[in-house]
Amino acid sequence: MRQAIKSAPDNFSLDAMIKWICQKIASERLVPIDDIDPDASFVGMGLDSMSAVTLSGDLEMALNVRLPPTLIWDHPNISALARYLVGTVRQSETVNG
Amino acid sequence: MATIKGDGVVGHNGKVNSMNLFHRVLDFEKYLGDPASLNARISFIRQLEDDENECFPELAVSHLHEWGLHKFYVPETLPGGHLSRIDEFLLLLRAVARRDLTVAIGHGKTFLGAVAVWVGASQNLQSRCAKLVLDKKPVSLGLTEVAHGSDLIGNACRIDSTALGKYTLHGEKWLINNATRSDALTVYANTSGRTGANAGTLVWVEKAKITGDYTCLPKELTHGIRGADISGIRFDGAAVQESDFIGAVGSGLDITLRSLQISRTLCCALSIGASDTALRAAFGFSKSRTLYGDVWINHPLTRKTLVEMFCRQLVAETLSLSAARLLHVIPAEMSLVSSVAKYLVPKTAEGIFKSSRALIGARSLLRETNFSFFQKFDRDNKLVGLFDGSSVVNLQAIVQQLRQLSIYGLEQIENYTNEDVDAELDKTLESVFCMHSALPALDFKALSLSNRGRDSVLQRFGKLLRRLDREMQQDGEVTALEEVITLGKRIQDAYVGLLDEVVVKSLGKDMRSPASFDAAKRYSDLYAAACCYYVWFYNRANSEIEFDPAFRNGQWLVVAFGQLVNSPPQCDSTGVFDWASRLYADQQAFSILPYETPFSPTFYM
Amino acid sequence: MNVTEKNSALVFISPWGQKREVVNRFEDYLGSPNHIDSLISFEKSLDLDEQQCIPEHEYAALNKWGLCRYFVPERLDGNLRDFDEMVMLFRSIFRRDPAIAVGYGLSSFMACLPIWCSGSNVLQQRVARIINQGGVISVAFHEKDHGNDVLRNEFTAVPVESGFSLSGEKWLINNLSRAVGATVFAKTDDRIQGKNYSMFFLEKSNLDDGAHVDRIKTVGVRACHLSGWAAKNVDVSNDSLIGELGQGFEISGKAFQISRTVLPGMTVAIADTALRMAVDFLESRKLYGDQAIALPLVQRDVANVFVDLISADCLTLATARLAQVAPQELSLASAITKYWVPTTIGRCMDATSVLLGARHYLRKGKYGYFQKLMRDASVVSIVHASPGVCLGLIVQQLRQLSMYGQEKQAQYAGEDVDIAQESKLQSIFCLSDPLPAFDYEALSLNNRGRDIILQSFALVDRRLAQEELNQTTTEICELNKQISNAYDDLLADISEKLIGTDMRSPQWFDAAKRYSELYAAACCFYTWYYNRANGQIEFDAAFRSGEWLAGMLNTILQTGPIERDEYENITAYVRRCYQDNKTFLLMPIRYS
Repeated sequence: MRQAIKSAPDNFSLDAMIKWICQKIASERLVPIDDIDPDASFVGMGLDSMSAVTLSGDLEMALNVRLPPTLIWDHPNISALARYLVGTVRQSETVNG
Repeated sequence: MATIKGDGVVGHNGKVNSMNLFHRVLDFEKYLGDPASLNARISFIRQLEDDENECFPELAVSHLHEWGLHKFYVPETLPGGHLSRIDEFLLLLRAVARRDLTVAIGHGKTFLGAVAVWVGASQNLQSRCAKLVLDKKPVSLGLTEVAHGSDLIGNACRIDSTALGKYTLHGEKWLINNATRSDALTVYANTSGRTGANAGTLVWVEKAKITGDYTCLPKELTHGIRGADISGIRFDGAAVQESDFIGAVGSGLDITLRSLQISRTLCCALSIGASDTALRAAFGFSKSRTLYGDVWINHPLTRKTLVEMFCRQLVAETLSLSAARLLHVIPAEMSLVSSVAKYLVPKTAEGIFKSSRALIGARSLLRETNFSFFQKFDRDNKLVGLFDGSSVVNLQAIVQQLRQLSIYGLEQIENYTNEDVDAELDKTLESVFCMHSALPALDFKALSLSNRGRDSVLQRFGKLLRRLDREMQQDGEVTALEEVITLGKRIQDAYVGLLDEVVVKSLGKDMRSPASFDAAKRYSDLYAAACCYYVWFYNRANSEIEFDPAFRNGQWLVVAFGQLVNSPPQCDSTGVFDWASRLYADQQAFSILPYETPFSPTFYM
Repeated sequence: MNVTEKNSALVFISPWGQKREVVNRFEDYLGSPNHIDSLISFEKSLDLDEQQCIPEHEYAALNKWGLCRYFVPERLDGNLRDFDEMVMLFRSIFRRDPAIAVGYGLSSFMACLPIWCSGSNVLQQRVARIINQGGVISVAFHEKDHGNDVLRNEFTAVPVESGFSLSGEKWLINNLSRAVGATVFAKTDDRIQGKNYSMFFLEKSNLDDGAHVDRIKTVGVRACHLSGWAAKNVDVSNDSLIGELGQGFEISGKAFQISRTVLPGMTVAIADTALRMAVDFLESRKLYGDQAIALPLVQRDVANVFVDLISADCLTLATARLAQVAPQELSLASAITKYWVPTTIGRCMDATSVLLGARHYLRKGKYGYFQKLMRDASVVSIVHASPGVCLGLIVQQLRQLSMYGQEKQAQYAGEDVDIAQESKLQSIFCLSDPLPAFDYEALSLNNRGRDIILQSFALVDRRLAQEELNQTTTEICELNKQISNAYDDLLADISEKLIGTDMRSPQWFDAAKRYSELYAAACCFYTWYYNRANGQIEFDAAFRSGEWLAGMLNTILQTGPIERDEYENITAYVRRCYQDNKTFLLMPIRYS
């Protein structure tokens, strides 16, 4: 399980990022990945304030970037979140690279 | 459940069967009504008012008289008395305690005042006492003093001899429930010229006969039971006759200690009544409240807490009922079980209150909202562990017997490995623990100050396990049973381990050593576990009483005692949770016994 | 650093010494609670409790001394610099009367925190002036139907032309009847969870536009005035908004970390008084021919209470100081403090009530005050987030803590120094060291997996093991090994068994409890380690030798009951403190 959390997406394309977040949420909520709608709001999926902080922490560890704990409040669905993450990861690669 | 007779008292003779037992309890529950309703004979809201105003709950108490609860304070062997079965009496007191502890304590005190008379007084004095009680007059018990608490031998109250057969009573009794309201008291005093264990004498004092020679002390303001009459009385040379002595001169300590075995057992009714309501409040809150997007009861931690509370309640109740029935069947072993119960049951109830507080949150501490009754129960309940012997006093009573219990216990276990059946003892145990089996009449004379090493419950526990083992080999399809047996074996191992430890480390020899007290606590826990096993064993196939299927499959034992022997329950507790939920929804008592207790679940909405 | 002239020689006074001076001055000002003429006396407080009266005289006296200025940061002309000092000052009130402490101003302090953290300069100045002058402000946070589930609160603030229009009902507000303002938590947006709440500061005129709901009667702190507030289209101006629109949950989530840290630290003093009363009773009580306090069973109970008390003291001083040294880790430290301390103090209250026997049940007489303390303590324990809520806050960080923690464990297995971490630990735990000023902007909603306390434990433990050990320190090393092992096991359990399961399950909450216990144990260890040779602090030899520490660790780790010589020594110490009228806590204050 620990490995699953730490494993990063295949690449940092938007599609790969969306798929990767869907997988994470699916395995977390013990549902098939097809049940996860990237455009449905996190609130609708039942993510509360507690899971919000946890999810941002997981993403932070997996992607090795610093993320605000309020991440999913600012980006209220998977697609929006993925767009933000792709941007952040690329930016940090530029800085580091 | 069979139909209920309306007149409240069902005829009986000598041996009462279980259906009668239920009838009277059911009838009483129905008579008292739903405490959530203002029209009930004991209502939460009215009792809260009495509490805030520090008023004695006169009205509620008068309702108890009206139904005739006071008749149960007098043995049926005396004209007009109804007391024939202690387990029934326990459930009747519990019915009051479920609704209000101040009422239960304010009214029930009369039994505590009278019990020594039944245990040790002459026929003549018994008749005098019975007459007062049946006339609805409060009777009180004067044991404790300012400087000595429960240390009876250090008492300062004294009886002086003035002329042949004539005496005067001097000194002060303090923190006495109903000292002021009572018409008569049983008073413990030292006979002048004597000291030590044989100095004390119990004397029956009727206030009407000593006018002017006594003063009632002012009511003490208390944390809980604010409406109760907790006061004191000072005797200034009140005249008493030899005929007022309960038993012989110098027999006070003996009679008191034997009487306490009965009253301590009955005190458990207060605890399991109050904790029933605490658990009900926690259920009500959890079902009515939505938190974090889900009904509170659907949160896994809430469910776990409720299941644990429910199991603790079952254990406390089972131990209380076992003690009450043992009083009929093996009275010689009451010195142990009454102390075990009086130590463990109030403690368990306090634990249930604590868990309820955690679930209910802020409302458990407000004197407002629909849950305001809870804080009153919580305050009232703290008293139960204090009176009639605190936990320390009861543990000490167990410590005193530890060595004997251990040495004799180890011998017994060794013997039982060779001998397989002891039909007579099995029958004895069955009549203690099978809830519908008839009980022998009460015999207070058979009460003894010590068990002399005998403990039929734990010392036979290994045998019970062997029977279960054999049964499983015959029919291996029962699933719960295996866990029950495995856990039972760990309990037995812990028991044998404890006995060895007591012997090896000479625990109980130094009666003040903390290690001895720890061993007594451990002994009590194991004793309670064994009682629950027996009650389950002798009732799981009982067709006379409609036990819940979840009682019969024994899983509750695994949930209840896993922690005790450090093996957290592996089994699924859903069945136990559903059982508790059913009881709540169907307005049944949180009890192994199926009986209704009106309490509207909509109250919390 | 202060250097003062004394006996014509220059004497250096450490920050600890200075704080002690302040507390001593305050104690002198307050006088003995046993005398009815003192500013706060048990007798008067018991009366206030019975009558449910607001302690106006006491409040005025505290204002006169300037206690209110300790709610206001130095930069705003207040006296609040170090949180440990604030904790110790307020202990002087809590040990006398928790209701006065709560009623006097802790709700004002809570109300101010979001403003100190996120309010505009203008607002900060304005509120600072109010508080410095002794004004009271309230927090209107909770609602009747939602308890701690604040993200489902229904009180709304709808944006209108000139500001906001407020409607709804708030519940369990302290001091509203005396307040000249209030901090209010309101829903400003229906769409996004977490970003749809905002915080407002309301003036008295705003409050008067709403309706004050009747006083709510409580079991404890009966002298406090709790009530509700109902608003129907109450208009407030734009500048009443604290921080940005939609930041309310975040602001409160950060700001209240401070109050969740300092409040439990203050309440430790309730148990100090409870133990004092119990000892007083046991000294005079004869039981079965003996002085009650001479009975071994009683001595063990007394020692257990003391050990709990001193552990809570260690943890609360540590987290109060951590706030200034590592504010980005306060989210975890505050949740642990607010869970572990009330639980431990509750145990102290239960144990002392047993020691007092029937006396604990009486509302009059020499020990009549005890039942009030007991009731007050029960209310204080759930004020501002119950232990259960705090465990939930810990649960949400456990995954990151376990993963980052395991990385650290692996890293430290190879290297044996981390200067930066150790110097931070030194500033947290060396009680006489100066603290950096608190950075109100450094707070974060989570620790990002960082935990200086447990993640550095292996380092410091190794240092101790390299010393020349005596019998006590050998025992401590062994106990430390248990802490390390339990910590490793816990991290492994979380990453191997728990991650992926329902986070509301009891197993997660158990893990949070275990984490808190280890955290508390580590704090006790560091407090000893960094102060045992500290010449600037007057600790008892039994503290320095590590004897108490062994007792604390054994209790927290539940390795077994306290041994005979240990409970005898501790009881002897407790009796000495009682006779000398000295606190049982680490800072050796002699009570007036």
